Amino acid sequence: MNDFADWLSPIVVKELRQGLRARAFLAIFLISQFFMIVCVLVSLGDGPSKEGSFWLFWVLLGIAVLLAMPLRGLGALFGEIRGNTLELMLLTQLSAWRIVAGKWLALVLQTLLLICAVLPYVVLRYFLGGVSLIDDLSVLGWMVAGSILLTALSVGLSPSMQSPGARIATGFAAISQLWLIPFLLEGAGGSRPTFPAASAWLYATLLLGPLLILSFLQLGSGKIAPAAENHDTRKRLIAVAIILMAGILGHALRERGFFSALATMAVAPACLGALMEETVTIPSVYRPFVRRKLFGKLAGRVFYPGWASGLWFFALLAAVFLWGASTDWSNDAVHFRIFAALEGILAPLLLARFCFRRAKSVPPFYFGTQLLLFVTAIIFSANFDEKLLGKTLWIPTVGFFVSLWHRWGVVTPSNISFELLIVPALIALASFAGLFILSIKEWRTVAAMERDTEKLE
Amino acid sequence: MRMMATLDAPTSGSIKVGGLDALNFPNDVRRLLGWMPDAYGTYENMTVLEYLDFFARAFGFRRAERRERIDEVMEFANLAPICTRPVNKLSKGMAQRLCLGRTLLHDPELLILDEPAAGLDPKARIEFKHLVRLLAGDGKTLFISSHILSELGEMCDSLLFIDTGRIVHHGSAESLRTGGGHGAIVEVRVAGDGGRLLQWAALYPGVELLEATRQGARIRAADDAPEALAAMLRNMMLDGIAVTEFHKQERKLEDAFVEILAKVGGAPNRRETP
Repeated sequence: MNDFADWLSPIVVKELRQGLRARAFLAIFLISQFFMIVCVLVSLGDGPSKEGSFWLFWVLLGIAVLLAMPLRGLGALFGEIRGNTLELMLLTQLSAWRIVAGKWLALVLQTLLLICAVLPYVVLRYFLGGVSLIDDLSVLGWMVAGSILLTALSVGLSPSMQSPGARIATGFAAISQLWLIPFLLEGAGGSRPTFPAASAWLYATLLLGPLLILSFLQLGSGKIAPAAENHDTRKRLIAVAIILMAGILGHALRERGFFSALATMAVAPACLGALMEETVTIPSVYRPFVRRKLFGKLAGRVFYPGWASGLWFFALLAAVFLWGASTDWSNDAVHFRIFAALEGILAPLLLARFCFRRAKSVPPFYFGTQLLLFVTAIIFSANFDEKLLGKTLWIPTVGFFVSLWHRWGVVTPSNISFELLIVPALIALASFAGLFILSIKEWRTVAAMERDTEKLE
Repeated sequence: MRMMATLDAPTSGSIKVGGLDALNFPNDVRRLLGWMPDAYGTYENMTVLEYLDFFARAFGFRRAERRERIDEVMEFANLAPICTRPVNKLSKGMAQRLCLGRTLLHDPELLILDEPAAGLDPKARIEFKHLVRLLAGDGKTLFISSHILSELGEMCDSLLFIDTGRIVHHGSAESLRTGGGHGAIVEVRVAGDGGRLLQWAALYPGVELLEATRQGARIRAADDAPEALAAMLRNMMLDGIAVTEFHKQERKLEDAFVEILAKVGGAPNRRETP
């Protein structure tokens, strides 16, 4: 039992023992080795076959590293839940976070092993001529970085893979995030779509990548943690760190659009999650805040688990985005988009929270309301007419779609009218006020929890 | 049980384990308890030894101490002969022994065993009961949930019946068996005509005829003291009844449970926890 060192995480040891013997890993490893040999043999020839082998090499490696290995992550926690083994682990000294991080690290190590096994072929191709070793190694590096990030995403999503419905919903949520890429590419300050410079990608990978990994893994650990473990606050803190880092990088590298898009995609799950959480009635969860007296309680207004504080957390992030956009107040299109997005998120939430007050879980009703409004909005906004728009703009998400069509050049309103700005802004504000009134009851519960925690101290 | 194990939060009330509130001090409570669930999850591509090694690492044991703990639980649960077997290829009895071994790795004070004997063959059940008795002898507190009441009677000092969230009985198994003030049920067999015994039972004070059997009867004696039963047997023989067998029947725990449920107005066939 001394095959792995003591300082290694128990979960990494377990996963490596299991993973390296797993059929999936062996299959990926052997198949990739086979095709690497084929590619090298083909590149021995001249002309088109050599060129073809170049593409074949990277495509096959890409499939193995960027698709097959990250996909294994989808079963990482789901398998433990299905096999009734997760709870046994949670009763040891392993926290939910250590379990998720260990699973991810073990998969990454297996990917690195795969890469190491491929390196001799990269070197061989160099000696056969026609390729640049530096270029090859840099492509390999990007692939590894991509694989690490995708593996974190798949491990983070894996607890949500328990039913076909959950899988579809998770897949839809993940794909829907991709819409934001072109929508926000020009970001808070720019006026035309731009492709970010390679340096932006490099800094994003090196500085924002670790935070994104933390955020993805936190998503998974929050799902599997026992009720007494607070992961909601960590999710929010990571989201704040992402926003700060993206803001600094965007400003320093003059790629605000690119980093805004990245930050939006990264913090969207934490933001929506904060609005969906139920108030926690376990005093120990409040202990870290209450211990820090007034400062802790003040921070709790934004970071306590539960949607009441989630509302203020959301408002804080929205304010940061608006502040970012305020540096270019002349760009009404950007403000319109931000207001439309806020309206599209908050108004359906108010509807769901108000109409289904007694529901145990709000997310199904929230996403149901969203879906209904999306369909309505698509119908109205697709038949774009400035006169009709004035009459339908009060419907949440219509503004969002109009801004989307506008961004893609499908429709071009002559200018961003005052009405186009003020209606979504007012609806967003009214929704926030309505949600705040509904949250007063939750705050009373939180106050009772604070008192209980103070007694425990 | 999941709430006791700090995996779920109670909707109301509180749970204290070893004087610690399970909700407010979950990590401390986890150190005190070992949980053996009814659905034992297995892993692929892992041997029994690797399984124990993983959990020993997860409980924070290092180097020689880890090896020592693994050896101890393997010896206790007799796992050494199967230590190289894959965990997903074990029989139910072996798997239960492994699961118990894992539960004991961090030497918990309280063991929560959920349906530990379900699905075990008779030999494995006897072995398991033996292990449970050894643990109880070591001073561990065992909290066992089971539907097989007869086995609980053999293993447990105290029984707790819960019906739809209410405690309907809490006491020793012995008090349930002896009837708790309902008198003694005696099976009597006689040589020859059993009719005389039935007549005798109808006339003798403090005796109630429960049922006539092929060669005698089952009767209930109002006084279950040994002296009273001895006097009854003496009188029976003095009255000329040829008694060949006089046997005091212990009440089955299942019967006691059904009676308790009937008293409190609940339905039988619910989950009971000793």
